[in-house]
Amino acid sequence: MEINNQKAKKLKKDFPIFKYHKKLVYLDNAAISQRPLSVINAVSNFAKKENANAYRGIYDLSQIATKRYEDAHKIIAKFINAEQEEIIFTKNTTESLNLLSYTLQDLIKKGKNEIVLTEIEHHSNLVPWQQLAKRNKMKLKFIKINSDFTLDMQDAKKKITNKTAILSMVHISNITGTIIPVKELVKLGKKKGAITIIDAAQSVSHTQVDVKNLDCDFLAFSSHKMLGPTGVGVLYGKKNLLEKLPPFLFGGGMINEVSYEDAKWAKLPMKFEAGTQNIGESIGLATAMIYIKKLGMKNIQTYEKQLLKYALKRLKEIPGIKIYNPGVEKSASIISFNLKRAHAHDVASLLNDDNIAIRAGHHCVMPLMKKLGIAGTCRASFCFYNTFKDVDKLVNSLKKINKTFK
Amino acid sequence: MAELDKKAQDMYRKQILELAKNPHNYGKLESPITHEFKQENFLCGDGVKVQLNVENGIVEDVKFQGQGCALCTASASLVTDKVKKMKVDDVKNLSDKDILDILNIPVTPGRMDCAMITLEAIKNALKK
Repeated sequence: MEINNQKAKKLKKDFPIFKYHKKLVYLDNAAISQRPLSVINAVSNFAKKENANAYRGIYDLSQIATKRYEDAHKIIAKFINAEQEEIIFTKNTTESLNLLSYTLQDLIKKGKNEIVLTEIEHHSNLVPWQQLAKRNKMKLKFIKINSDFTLDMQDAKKKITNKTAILSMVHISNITGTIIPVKELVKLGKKKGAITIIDAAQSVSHTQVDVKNLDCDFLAFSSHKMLGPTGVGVLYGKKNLLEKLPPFLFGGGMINEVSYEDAKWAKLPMKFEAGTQNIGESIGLATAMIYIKKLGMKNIQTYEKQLLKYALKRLKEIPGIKIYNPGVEKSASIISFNLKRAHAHDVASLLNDDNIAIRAGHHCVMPLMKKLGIAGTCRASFCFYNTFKDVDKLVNSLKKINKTFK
Repeated sequence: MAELDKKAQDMYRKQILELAKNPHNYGKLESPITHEFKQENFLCGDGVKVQLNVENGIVEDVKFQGQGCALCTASASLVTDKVKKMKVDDVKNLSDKDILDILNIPVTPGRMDCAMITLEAIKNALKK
């Protein structure tokens, strides 16, 4: 089903937040997306009608909970073209990446001691690796970003070497919206025997993410940026690799057999899902994926491109604006910008007067901000429920602010 | 929430915008620097650095540096004006409310940090 401006307007009706805030122009989707009623209902129905612990009871309710929880794994696996046991629930992308940084030591091949990232990583795909590098005396390397905010692939070829132990990169930048050519990078990494990891937090609901096609070893994303509830994230890993990793958290649910002295681990994915999980919220994420699938990723992508193109064109009308985005062909759904005389915080406050929600600040990418010589940016990030009118309201309001700060 | 009903445009009065453009006490302190501190503003990624010259328990001079929003810069201007010639003990007793009184604008909840960062920086500098 094709999405256009008219359809987007209708889709907004699926999201109760817009019923309660009729004037809201919500452009902070890269931080958290709004939830459709189907997701809200899925979580609340589980609480109301089916609440029980998964894998822990032989009574009906617990078995229903187990089935729902396992089905959630199945639906999520299908969404990214993985196998059911390759889907591990975590709290969010950050936890998924931390899990890896603490467990993948044994996968690192001999003689390799470098971790390669890009200059445009979110702190969640930077700080865990900094810490790993410190713990294990490894070297961090960063693939450069070009002045047009794309990745310098020549530099990538230089930085990814036989010494590369881990190559971890963001799929879509949360600042500039840049689509990083992750498939190509995975290929480069594989050639050199590196472990390849993708931070798909910003991509999984805006572009087709197919782990078999990407051929990455691991991939992480969050529920709350793809219409799902908070508190749920996913770590995908190739089955043969996940089997080799030790567990990250120890305790209930992740064991097969325990004596006073020792324990044996449960099979995948339970080995990595210690303790009672966010069962209802996991079902919520699966429901979000069903919603997205029904709309069709191609349709979402096509519409969001039109929206991005329109937003870039209209934003450029504002005198003195500086836009941090590599253009419609090389980016998705996210635009950062600064007005000439107004600080991002002032802009965000004044936009709020007009019921426009954007993000302002360093967006958890402080090293890149430093490289660009700025303290922060304003960021507008879109979802398929945003309309062209939302863009118009943003631009009109920015023009007004520009006048205040002339 | 009544707090959320405040309009940001009321914060950007002429005086605030004027101070943001031409801040008071901006730059490096030339006189002896007895106290200094850089206060980070984690939300917007920039911070305020204050330098003070304290003699005999009195703030003789103070300057600030840093890239900030209009509110932060205007507040830094007014707060540095305020503490000049004040007793250190009195500076330490300044409250958020005192700063809001000097600013004389309705600061929205999300922006309180921007308004208060300079006072915090000064208090931290004086702790040393």
